[in-house]
Amino acid sequence: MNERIRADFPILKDIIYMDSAATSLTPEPVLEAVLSYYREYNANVGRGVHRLSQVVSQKYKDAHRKVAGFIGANEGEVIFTKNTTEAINMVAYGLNWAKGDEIVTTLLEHHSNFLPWLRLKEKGVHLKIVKPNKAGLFELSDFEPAMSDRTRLVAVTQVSNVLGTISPIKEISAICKEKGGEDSLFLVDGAQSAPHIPVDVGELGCDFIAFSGHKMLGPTGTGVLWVKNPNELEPTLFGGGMIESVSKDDYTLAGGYERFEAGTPHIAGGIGLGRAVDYLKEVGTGEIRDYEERLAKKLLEGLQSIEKVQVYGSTNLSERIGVISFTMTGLHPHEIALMLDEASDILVRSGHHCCMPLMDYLGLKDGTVRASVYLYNTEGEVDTFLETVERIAKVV
Amino acid sequence: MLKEFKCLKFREDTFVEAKHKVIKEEPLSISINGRHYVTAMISPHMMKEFVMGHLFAEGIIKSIDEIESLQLEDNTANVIITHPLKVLAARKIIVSGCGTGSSFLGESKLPKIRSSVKIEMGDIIAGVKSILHSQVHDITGGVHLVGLFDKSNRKYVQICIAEDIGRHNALDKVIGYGLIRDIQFEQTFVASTGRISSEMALKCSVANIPLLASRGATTSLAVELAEKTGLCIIGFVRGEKMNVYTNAERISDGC
Repeated sequence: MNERIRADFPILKDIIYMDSAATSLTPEPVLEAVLSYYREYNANVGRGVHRLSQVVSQKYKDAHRKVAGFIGANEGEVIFTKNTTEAINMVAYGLNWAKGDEIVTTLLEHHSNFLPWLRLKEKGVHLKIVKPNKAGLFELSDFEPAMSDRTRLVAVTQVSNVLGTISPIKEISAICKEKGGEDSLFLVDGAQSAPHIPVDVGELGCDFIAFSGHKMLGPTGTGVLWVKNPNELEPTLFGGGMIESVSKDDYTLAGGYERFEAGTPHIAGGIGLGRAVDYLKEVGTGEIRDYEERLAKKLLEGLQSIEKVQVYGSTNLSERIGVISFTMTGLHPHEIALMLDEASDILVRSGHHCCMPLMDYLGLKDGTVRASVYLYNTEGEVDTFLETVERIAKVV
Repeated sequence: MLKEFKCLKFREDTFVEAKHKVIKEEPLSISINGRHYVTAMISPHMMKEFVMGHLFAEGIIKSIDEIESLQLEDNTANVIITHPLKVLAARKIIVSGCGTGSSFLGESKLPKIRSSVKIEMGDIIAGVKSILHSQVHDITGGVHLVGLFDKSNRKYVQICIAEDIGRHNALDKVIGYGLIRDIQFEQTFVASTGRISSEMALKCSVANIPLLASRGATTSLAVELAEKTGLCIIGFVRGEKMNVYTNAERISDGC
């Protein structure tokens, strides 16, 4: 599948891109979809009767439908946001919190699924933090004591953006519903999972899932919040396009996703995201998962065999994706990243990966180097990467 | 499909207040690429099939892959097709070619049915008979039925039946049904309860359906058109009898 796919990413001709966990590359069909909006039917959505307005409204709605289909949801439940961070904040701001409410989250979380909850301490909300083991895996029994009848929300990432490990979401959801009471809600941070493994909201048993369009071949400035019951979440922004009617004294909100998308949205981006999920579906999410597993295996085995290199996270391929963190004795992660770029045009991420609490827990004050692969990477690129890391290790 | 109304029934020299269920008729406005294309009066059932079948039978799309998006909401169908200019082209061919006089102005553009299928008389008789049983028709007395028949193990079986206030609409619906399921029309036939007009004949010809049979009559223009497209038109299929007007070679068993 790879040669055909690589032709859609001309940017790859000069670089080896292994930073997809930060943002993915954008294939030509997505760029075409974005450009065709500006070139062929540039108009605002839902606001006019003229022909372009009708066409763009239909395409923008189709994009929601496509994304909904991608995660096994219904169209009206999928809200377009600018990224995962905004999506999670919409939940943090859109629920009514009472003093004494409890939120259960974990030490594995990206700051975007941590700070919005930490901030709620000001409102008297208690935060309970479940720790994974050092390999990034959870004992399910650790969640049970964290939950009580005061648990209002459980917020857990499906895949760690540092360690690549997959959390047992279905099982945590069951505990949430059993121990946390019927009213407790379950939010999944799907930023690293939706692009790489098949996600079905019905199977996960969650109430919210947030993910980023730009990490799954979509344009930057696109993200998604799926809400099981849109009527139970308050919108955070008010204004144009999100109402059914307005009078001098009152207003009635529109139904479905529209109530959460006040103002002119990122129309071209949304349409591009719709094309991106079509692209992923055409390749096949199962095929992508299998392919990345092969790359991850090669990466893991290769890195583990290099002296001075320490690899973090579980090495069991069934419980991780192709996001691999490592360090090297004697070099700062930023130095390694710069050397990879200089020596072999390999682009990786280095630092704390917006996970400072996790870095503290793992005792990694300088963070890690993170190589993350996607459907457009090749085994040849992995070979080049491993050879370069080995060369770097020898000169330390 | 049904809506109940009060009515006065005249029985034995006097009016009696009663209720009667009538067949629903609703407008469906179809927009293509943001522009109004047509408003059809139809029975609100199999709407998606209707829109797809209609666009195909009117020559606006050659396959459903050309439909990029179809959204049905209330009484509107918004369609985005990949070749918007085809709307203009299709109108020109069909309107000027087939509805405006005794000769076909656009004759060179008429479709030619590509099919070598031979259908047995028994299958045709059974097909026309099978579409007569309709609960909606029994209640309302006001519905047309069109059935699509496909070959399965050398016998023809009904794969779809559509009810509508209009014969053309019902035909569009079964064509849409076939398109969605990728039915090979060249080996199918259609049975209808209503008159076979030129429009019915043209729709079948465009869809490459080789045979159209009805319990009812046909028209001069339909017969003339069918002679040119290769469609076999059969009228008055009642009991064991039928009138074959065109292309009898599509029937096996000596007709």
